Amino acid sequence: MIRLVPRTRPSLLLQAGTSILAVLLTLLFGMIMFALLGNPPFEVLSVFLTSPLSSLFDISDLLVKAGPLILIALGLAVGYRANIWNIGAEGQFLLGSIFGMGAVLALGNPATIWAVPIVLIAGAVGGMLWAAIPAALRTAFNASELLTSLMLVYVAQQLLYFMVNQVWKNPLSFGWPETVELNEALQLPALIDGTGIHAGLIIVVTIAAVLAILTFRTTFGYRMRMAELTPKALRFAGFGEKATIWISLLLSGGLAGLAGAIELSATFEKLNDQFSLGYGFTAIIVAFLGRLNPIGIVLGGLLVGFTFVGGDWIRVSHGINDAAADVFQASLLFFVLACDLITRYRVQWVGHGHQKRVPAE
Amino acid sequence: MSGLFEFLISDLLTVSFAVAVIGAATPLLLAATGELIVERSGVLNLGVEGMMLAGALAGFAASQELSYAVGIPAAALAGALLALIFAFFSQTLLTNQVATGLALTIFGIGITKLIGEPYTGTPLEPMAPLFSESLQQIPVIGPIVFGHDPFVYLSIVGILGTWYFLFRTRAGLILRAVGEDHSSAHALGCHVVRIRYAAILAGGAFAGLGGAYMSMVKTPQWNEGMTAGSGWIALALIVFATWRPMRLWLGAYLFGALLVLQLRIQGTGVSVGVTYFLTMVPYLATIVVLVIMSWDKVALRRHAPASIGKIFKPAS
Repeated sequence: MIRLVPRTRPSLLLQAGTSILAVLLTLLFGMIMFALLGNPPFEVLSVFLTSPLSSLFDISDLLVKAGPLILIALGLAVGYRANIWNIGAEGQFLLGSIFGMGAVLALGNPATIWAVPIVLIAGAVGGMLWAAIPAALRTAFNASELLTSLMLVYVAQQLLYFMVNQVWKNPLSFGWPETVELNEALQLPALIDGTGIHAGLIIVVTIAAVLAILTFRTTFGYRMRMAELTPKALRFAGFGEKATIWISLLLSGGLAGLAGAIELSATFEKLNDQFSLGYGFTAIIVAFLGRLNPIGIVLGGLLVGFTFVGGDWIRVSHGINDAAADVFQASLLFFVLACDLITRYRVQWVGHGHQKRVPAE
Repeated sequence: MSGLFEFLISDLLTVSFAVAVIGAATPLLLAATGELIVERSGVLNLGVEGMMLAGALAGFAASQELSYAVGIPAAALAGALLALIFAFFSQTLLTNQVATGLALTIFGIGITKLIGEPYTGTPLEPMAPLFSESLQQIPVIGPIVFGHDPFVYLSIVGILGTWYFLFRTRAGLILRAVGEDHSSAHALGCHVVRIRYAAILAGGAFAGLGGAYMSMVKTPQWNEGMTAGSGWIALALIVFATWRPMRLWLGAYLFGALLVLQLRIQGTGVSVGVTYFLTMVPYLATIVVLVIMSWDKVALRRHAPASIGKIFKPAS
C-alpha cells in the first residue's frame, strides 16, 4: 500500500523536476495518441518538437500566441489563489476587442499613433465591465462566479456576431462578417521586421514583471500567497471576502480585455466572427501550468504557444486536425496536476502487511 | 408585435409544443441527473461538457456504423471512460477538482474534434419513437406519452431511479453521508474513495447519454463542440434544484420550455439582428436562475452537500 505524508515545504528543485516529468508524460501520451490515429508516432513527434523553433517565423508565431495567453493567465492566477474561479476570460477577451474596436470607430479611425493607448485602455475597461457582472452577482447575491462568468462567454460571442454582422459590418467586405481595417497608425508595430513580433509583447512582459514583483516582493503579494496556503479562507489575508472577489475579477477581466485589444490592434487589425482561438480557455491551463505564479505563467505560456505552433505543423505534415494541440494542452494540465502529488506529499511504499491492524493485546 | 403575441398564445398550449419541450429538456435532464449523483457524493466534476461530447460522438459513430442498440451503451461507456480519468486524478491522485474538471472539458472538446473529424456532416437516420404507431395516434396523450425515442424514457427512469436510490435505499444513504462529511463516513467504515469512483462513473455515463441524445436524435449529426454549453447549464440546473431530484426534473423541463420558446420566436421571422439576442436568452436565464437560487445563502448551504469539492485523504 502507498502512504502519503504531506511535505512541509516543497522545494523549487522538486517543482521544476515534476514539471519536466509532466512534459515527458504528455509527450508519451501524445505518441500513443498519434499511433492510435494511424500516424508514425516518432516521425510526428519529431515534427511537433522541432518545427516550432526551426525558423524565425515559427518562433515569432510562438511568441505571438503565447502573449495573450500569458496576459490572461496572469490575471486569472490571482483569483485562483483565493478560490475565485473566473473561467469566463474568453468573454472578457471578446469584450475587450469589441470595446477596442468601439474606441477606434468612435475616434474616427484616426491616423495617429497616440490613439493606440486609448484603444488598449478601452479594451481593458471592456473586459473589466464584463468581469464586474459576475463580481457583482457574487458579492450581492452569492451567485457562483464560476458559472456566471462562463455563461457570459456565450453571451459575449453572440454580441460579437451581432456587432460584426449588423452594426459595424464593412460594406466593402463582400458579405463577410467583419469590420473595416484599423488605420495603419493604430496597428501595433512589428518589433522585428518581417515577423509578427509586435510591440504588444512588451506590454505583456512588463505586466508579468510588475506582477512578479508584486507577488514576491510586496506585502500584498505575501497576503495573496497566504491565501493559497489557507484554501478555506476564500480571501487574501487582510482583505475582506468582497474586496478579494472584486480585485480578482477586475484584474483578470481587465487583463483579458487588454489582451483582446492588443490582438485587435497587432494581429487581426479588424474585428471578425473568427476573432478568438479560444485563448480565454487555454489561459486557464496556462495559469495552472505556471502554478499560479507570474514567472511560471510566462514559461507555461511559452510552452502552450509551442504546442499551438507544433500542432499547426503536424497538420501540414501529416494532416492531423489542429485539435491535437488542444488535447496536448489538456493532457499537459492533467499531468501537471498529477505530478503535484509528488510535490505536495512524500509518497511512501509501506507494503501490504502494514494495512492489517493487529488488535491491541 | 400583436402577431407575435397571438402566435405565442396559439402555440404554447399545443401538443407539439409539449413534445418539443420534452425533447429539448432531455439532454439537460440526463446530464444533470448524472452530475447530481456525483455532487451528492461530495465531488464537483466540471467536466460535464466534455463527457457529453464524448457521448455524442461515440453514440453517433456507433449508431452509424452498427446500430442504435449499440449507440446508446457506447455513449454511456464513452462518458464513463472520460469520467474514469477524472476519478483517477481527483480521487487517487488527489488533484484539485475544479482544475481537473476544467481540464476534462477541454480534453473532451479537443479529443472529440480530433477523432470525430471524419464523421462531421455525415448523415444518420433520426431514431424512431419507441412505441407503435397506433399508440401514438391517441389524441394528446399519444404524442406526449408514447411519441418519444428511448432517450426520453431513459431520462425519466433515470431521474426517478436516482430519487429512489438516493432517498429510499441504504446505498443511497451511504452515498449522501459520504457527500456530507467524508471524514465521519470514513470513520464509520464507508469506502469513501470507492463510492465516489462509482458515483463519478455513473455521472459520466448519464452525461454521455445526454450528449448522445443531441447527436442521435435532436440534430441528428455530429459537429465539433455541438453541445454548446449544455453541460454548464446542467451544472447550473443542480443549483436551481438545490440538489433535489424532483426539482431537477421540473427545472430541466422549465428550461426546455424556454429553449423551445426562444427557437420558435426566432422562427416567426423576427429581424436578423434580434436572433443574436434571442440566442443569448438561455445563458442569461441561467444567470438569473443562479442569482435567485443563491440569494438565500443559508438555505443554499443547508441543501448543498457539505463536503463538495473538498479533497479526501484518509489518515493512514
